[in-house]
Amino acid sequence: MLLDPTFLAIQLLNGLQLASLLFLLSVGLSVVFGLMNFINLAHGTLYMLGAYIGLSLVRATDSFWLAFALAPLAVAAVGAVFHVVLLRRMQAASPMRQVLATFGLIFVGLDSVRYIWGDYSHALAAPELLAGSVQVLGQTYPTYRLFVIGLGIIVLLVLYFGLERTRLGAIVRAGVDDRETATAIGLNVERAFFLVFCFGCALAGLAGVVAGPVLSIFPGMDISILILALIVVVVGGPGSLKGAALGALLVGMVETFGQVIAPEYASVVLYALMALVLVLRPGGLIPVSKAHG
Amino acid sequence: MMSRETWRAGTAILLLVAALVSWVRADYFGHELLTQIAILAIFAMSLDLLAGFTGMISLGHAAFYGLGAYATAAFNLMLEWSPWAAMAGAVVVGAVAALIVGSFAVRLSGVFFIMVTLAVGEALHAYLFKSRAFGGDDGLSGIARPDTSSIGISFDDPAVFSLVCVGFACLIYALLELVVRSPFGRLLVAIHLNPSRVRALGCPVSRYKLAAFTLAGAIAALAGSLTAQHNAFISPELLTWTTSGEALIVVIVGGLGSLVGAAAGAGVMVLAMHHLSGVTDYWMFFMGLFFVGVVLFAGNGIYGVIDAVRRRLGGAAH
Amino acid sequence: MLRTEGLNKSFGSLTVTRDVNLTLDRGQRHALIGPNGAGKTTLFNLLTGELKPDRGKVFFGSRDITRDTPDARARAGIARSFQRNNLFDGLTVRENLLTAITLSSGIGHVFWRALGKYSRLYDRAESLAQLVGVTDQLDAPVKSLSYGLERQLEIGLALALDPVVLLLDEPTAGMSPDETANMTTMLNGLPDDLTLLIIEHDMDVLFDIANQVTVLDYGTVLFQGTPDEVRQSEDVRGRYFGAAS
Repeated sequence: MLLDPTFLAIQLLNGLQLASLLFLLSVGLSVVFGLMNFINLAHGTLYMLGAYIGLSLVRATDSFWLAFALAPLAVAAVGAVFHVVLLRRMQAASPMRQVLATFGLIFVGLDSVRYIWGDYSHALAAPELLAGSVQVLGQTYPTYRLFVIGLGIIVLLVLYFGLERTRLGAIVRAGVDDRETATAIGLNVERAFFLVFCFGCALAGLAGVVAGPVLSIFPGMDISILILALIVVVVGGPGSLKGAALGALLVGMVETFGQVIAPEYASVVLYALMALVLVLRPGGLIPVSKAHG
Repeated sequence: MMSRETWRAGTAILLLVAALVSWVRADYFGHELLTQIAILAIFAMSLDLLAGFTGMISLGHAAFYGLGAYATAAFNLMLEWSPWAAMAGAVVVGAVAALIVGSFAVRLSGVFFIMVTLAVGEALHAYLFKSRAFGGDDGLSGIARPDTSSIGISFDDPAVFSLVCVGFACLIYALLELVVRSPFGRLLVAIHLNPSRVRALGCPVSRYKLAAFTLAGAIAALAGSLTAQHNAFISPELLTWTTSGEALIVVIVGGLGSLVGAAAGAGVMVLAMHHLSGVTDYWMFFMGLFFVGVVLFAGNGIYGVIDAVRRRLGGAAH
Repeated sequence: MLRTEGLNKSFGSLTVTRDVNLTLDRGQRHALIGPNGAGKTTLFNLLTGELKPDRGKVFFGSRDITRDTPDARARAGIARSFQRNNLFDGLTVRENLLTAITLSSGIGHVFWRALGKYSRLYDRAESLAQLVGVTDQLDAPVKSLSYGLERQLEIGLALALDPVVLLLDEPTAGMSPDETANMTTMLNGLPDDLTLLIIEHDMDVLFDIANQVTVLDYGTVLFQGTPDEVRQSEDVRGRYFGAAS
């Protein structure tokens, strides 16, 4: 089975597609972690929210593309409110407390979604434009999944050039590298963090809408993907864009092939991968070189 | 002025009296609740040793709790060990698993530790959810409680079993109280406060943290084993992140680093869950909000209030 | 007692320790001086194991301890104080001292007996408190101490280990003249067979305590000799005293 080229090609594409979603989800987590040593455990909840808001928008407007454009904005707004109301208030407290607060929000988000959209799982139809399928080595493969892969690559490129070429990108890089010095020379790291945080939330929302036609939408869809995203951050190395991309690729592939070859042990293999990276390279595969420790 | 320890012991005795009074007055359902409280107290106290004393906030502690339950079921149902032997075996399994996970996890700093423990817990959950040998998402049922008919009492009687669980909770409290007062326990607190300084004073920090992690894993497994015998049934539900989260909420609401706070928190949690779930389907929403509130505003939870009273009285006496 | 051989350490392109050979004999009172950024604290961290050298070796007695962890070195008898007070905030002075004494008595692993039952540890804490002058503050939280007292406790923690070699990183930094005088008296009263390596900027303190001086500059050893020799050395004067005053 493993040596069948068609099978391999299809699974490779599936792996790429999952990697693409994971990248959208984990890049925000990772960069914020690099900037503030803080991890938003409710990031998966924002992803779920993106999917559900997308669902409602599609139902209301009958347009996938409208949902595709608006749901991320809505999620970014939720993230901004959350940052202003809760995180900013907790800035003086330790990052641990912030992390714990976001953990509490997972419970809140889960039941809110159940209350608003119900307990049942829903499916989102792919837009007409991408509803068909293409031939891959004699097998049909949904066009939409190729679109997901392409989207991940586009976002990666946009972020890469954004970080390298824009002023905000420069501030973010300086902040991840050495926050104290960056602040000391007058860069507004706080504001950059806020923008990055909101942008990360928007990407999580985008991942949610985009996942709609591929994975089913149900309360609890947040936690399994959150775990995968956390593993991506740990494996790739927090704070690094390339790390998030490489981590997403690795985790996406291991998870996809694991589920096909030995579904019982897929999660164990992932966990072993993470443990291995932590033991051999505690800073992740592509660690950010910090000026201080 | 009475010391912190004396107050803690006093609070513990008060809690025990409250437990015994409610045991006398309880009906069938009351005994079920009391059993749940005692088991959650054991589980939460083991987490308090990690989170409160050593400063290792684990979001995957349910992994060891669930492992204890699964090991009990496996030993009892598949290997046909006696319930007591299965329980002892479960504790060993919990300790060994914690030793393995801890051997790399304890080296990680706070936020990394949170992420990794959460991931480990979910990985184990995902494995058991799919494993055919352990019944997948249906779980396993038919786990036996110890047979004590020879001494004329039956563990199948809810009143007896709830008393046994309260007894176990007392035992674990006494054990942990001894540990946190011991030189080892005091060093755990010092590690929490300033790890690099303890290291410079000659303490092999990771080894001490690993010892605490292993002990906590073993105790969590004992709580899991009692749950398996209580329900006569286990499922992957025992290992979900929500179980870990509830335990952490119990510890934080009760007051980190106080042991009795965790026990009191367990009482509040079980009763609140019991009453809230009767009123609304969405009690997790309120629990989550409450949790955020406690993290935000109430630094030291229930025990923080008791401790403030102690200091007030102590200050007045001077 | 403690000896280094060709020690090198770089951070990126910056070499902070270059071919340092240092020998501390038993009972020696050795001062380490040099301008800021000369690599004094880095050398301390290499000796205590908080940093690992890129090249070179550290010997304790005849044993190569280059790869030993900081805690193993502390157990072997190398204690240190820190340049910035590094205490257990949230504990009292007594509890701070007890933490160190627990470790030096080798009972840190005991989990079955309450610490309160080891009365000799409490006695030791009191005598140490007396030695470093914090007796009146034994039950005060560390956070409430004045800077000078914190500094004294900092040294008390190191002394609690009954060290063979004691490394002190600027013990009198930020102290008032009175506090400095007390500290100097206390250091001079330490047992004769204790080996002392001390980073110090106050030249009066230094000449009062030390019988051997090493001058570091840009990570290399510029000069080694007795305090008098150092005082007379033109080279050191030009580079260091000239620059400092």
